[in-house]
Amino acid sequence: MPVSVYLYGLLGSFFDGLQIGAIYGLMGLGLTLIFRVTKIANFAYAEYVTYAGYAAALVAAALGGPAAVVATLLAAVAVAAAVALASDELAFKPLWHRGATSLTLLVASMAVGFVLRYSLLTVAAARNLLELRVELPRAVLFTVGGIANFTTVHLAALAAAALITGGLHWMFTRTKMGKAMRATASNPTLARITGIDIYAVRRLTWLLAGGIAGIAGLVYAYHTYINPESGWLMLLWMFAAAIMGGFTFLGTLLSGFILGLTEAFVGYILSITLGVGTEYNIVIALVALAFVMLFRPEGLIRLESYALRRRA
Amino acid sequence: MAEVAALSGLLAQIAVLFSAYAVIALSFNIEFGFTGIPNFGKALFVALGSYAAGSITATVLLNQLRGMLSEQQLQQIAGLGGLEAEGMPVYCTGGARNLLGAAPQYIGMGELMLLFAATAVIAMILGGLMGVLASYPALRLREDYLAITLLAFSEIFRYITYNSPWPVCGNAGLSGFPHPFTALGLRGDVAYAMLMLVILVGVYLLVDRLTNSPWGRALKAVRDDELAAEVYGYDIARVRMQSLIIGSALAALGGVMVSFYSGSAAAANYDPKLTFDIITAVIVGGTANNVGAVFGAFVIALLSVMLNPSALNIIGITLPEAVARALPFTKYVIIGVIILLVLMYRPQGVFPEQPLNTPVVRKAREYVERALHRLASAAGGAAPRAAEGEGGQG
Repeated sequence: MPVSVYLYGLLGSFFDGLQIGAIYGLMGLGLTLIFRVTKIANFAYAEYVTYAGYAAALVAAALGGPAAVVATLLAAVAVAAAVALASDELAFKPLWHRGATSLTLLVASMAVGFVLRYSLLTVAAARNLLELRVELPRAVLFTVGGIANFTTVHLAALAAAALITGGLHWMFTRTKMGKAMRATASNPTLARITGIDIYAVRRLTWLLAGGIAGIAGLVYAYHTYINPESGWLMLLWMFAAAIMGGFTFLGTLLSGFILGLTEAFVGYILSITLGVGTEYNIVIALVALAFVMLFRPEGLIRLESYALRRRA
Repeated sequence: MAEVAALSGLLAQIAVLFSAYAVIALSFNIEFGFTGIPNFGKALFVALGSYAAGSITATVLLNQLRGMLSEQQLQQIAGLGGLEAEGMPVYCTGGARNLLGAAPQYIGMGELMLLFAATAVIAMILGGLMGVLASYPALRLREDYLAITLLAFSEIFRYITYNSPWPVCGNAGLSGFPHPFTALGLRGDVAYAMLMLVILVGVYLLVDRLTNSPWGRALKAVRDDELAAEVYGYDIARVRMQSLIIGSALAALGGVMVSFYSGSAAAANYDPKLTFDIITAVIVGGTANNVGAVFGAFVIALLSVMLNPSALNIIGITLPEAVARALPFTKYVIIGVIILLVLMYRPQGVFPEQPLNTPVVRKAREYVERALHRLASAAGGAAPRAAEGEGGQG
């Protein structure tokens, strides 16, 4: 085969790596927000993404025409935000009031995740809804050599990730609400004494994180078929992105890109040289996560502290 | 008669699952309850034991059959599955499965028993070695990060073994190897369940002994206050590593126990759900309480077996079709709700951790009680009622 085919292939894996990296980053953002403000390593977050994907897919299937895009987006965001807020009000906040440690909260979030996931699975199995996709129009925006395609899915993933990351970073570093969130995170009692309504901050955090999960779920279900376990299967990637990014928003997105591109390139190169299938791709992200945890648990990327220090 | 047979099969299944879960829960309790290491990669160590059991047993049995039978007989038993293996272990072929199924006819119970014991020992050694590896992150990370890291390790291990034909045939899984009493049919299953209960009793006595020894108190000291433990001369790294080695070896034993019963070792079974089962067992039963871990394992085993339409049929409950189809999925909804309720309303579990009860502590408590009693009689009946708990946390 001519060399140019491989080059196109590489460009194609670059596009796909960007896309999946944006999805990892996008999913990781809500996780980062929750961890930053409430110190919960929230395993149930994956389920918010799944619920949003299901809501989006069902609404998109029920409606047609241009209104479907808006309705799908609203449905995904509303469902995920509602589930996120409910899980905090019913499980995490009561535990936090009882003085639960971070590990207890982690176990609780696994339990919440199991309840949510298997409730969905029970319903989906009974109704035959085990494979769903958001059926919105898809199109190739531009193509290079007919091999490397840039589609509307790529655009949606990248645009959503970039906008939300920018928005969160701006909110956290430049607005009063961001300051209140940081204050609540570092010392809830002191924050309360200075007049911050920490419960309102907490509610807003969960609603926002749920909304992000909603958009992530919509994009993911637009990208591929989902089932009730899809979110759970993505969870370790979300954690990989968030932890590598040191639980900062820009860091999470960048780590998502690093993970996605590494997976795509290494997978592509292995498959054309050694003929190794893509099924080992997933191991790359997990190994990266393990290494970061072992050798640099504070995260690789520390852009936000620079941004804050400059303004201080 | 058929009903009795089905019922005893069900009981055997519960007993085996309970014993294996209890052994794993006891091992998790050593790490999590007593030492404070959240080993959320438990599934990895269980899987390791199961893989060791499956691959060793299958290899040894196939070799023995090759030695005993003529080529013609071998081909006849292997049937259409054949014994040709390319890029995968021989025991993954369909023919090997037929041969393994026929193995109890040619190989005696004593030999199979020996094989079981040998694989159990090897699995425990492998588990212990893996525990040494796991202690590397366990010394460096704080709790929640450690939990995620170990969970990631167990997922890496699962993905690799699920996709590679080594050691247990990838996504199909290695299956069909017999347990020592397979030749006896149903009675053999019951006998195997008895054996498992005996092993559980042995493990329980061992763990109880260990956790009530000075070593067990060292574990608690490391858990409660690392700095203080270090001041008193404990080598924290060493204590944590020992805890992980023993915990992991026992977890591997649990894997051996469960995989001989089903005759299968498949990567698909060892996902974080198993780890979550064990976490639930220990938290519901009571962290740092061995009776609690066993109790929790019983609850989980009962739920796992009974939330199944066919199992409910045996005890005379018939469900409508739609409910029956959804029933297996409800297990984790129920477990999730249970664990949330326990964490909120009884975080210490059903059986809370007991205060230390060494001879010295007992003596001290008796002495204090006697002194208070004397004081009370001297004061003329106005007894202070705060005699309890004094010297309890030696």
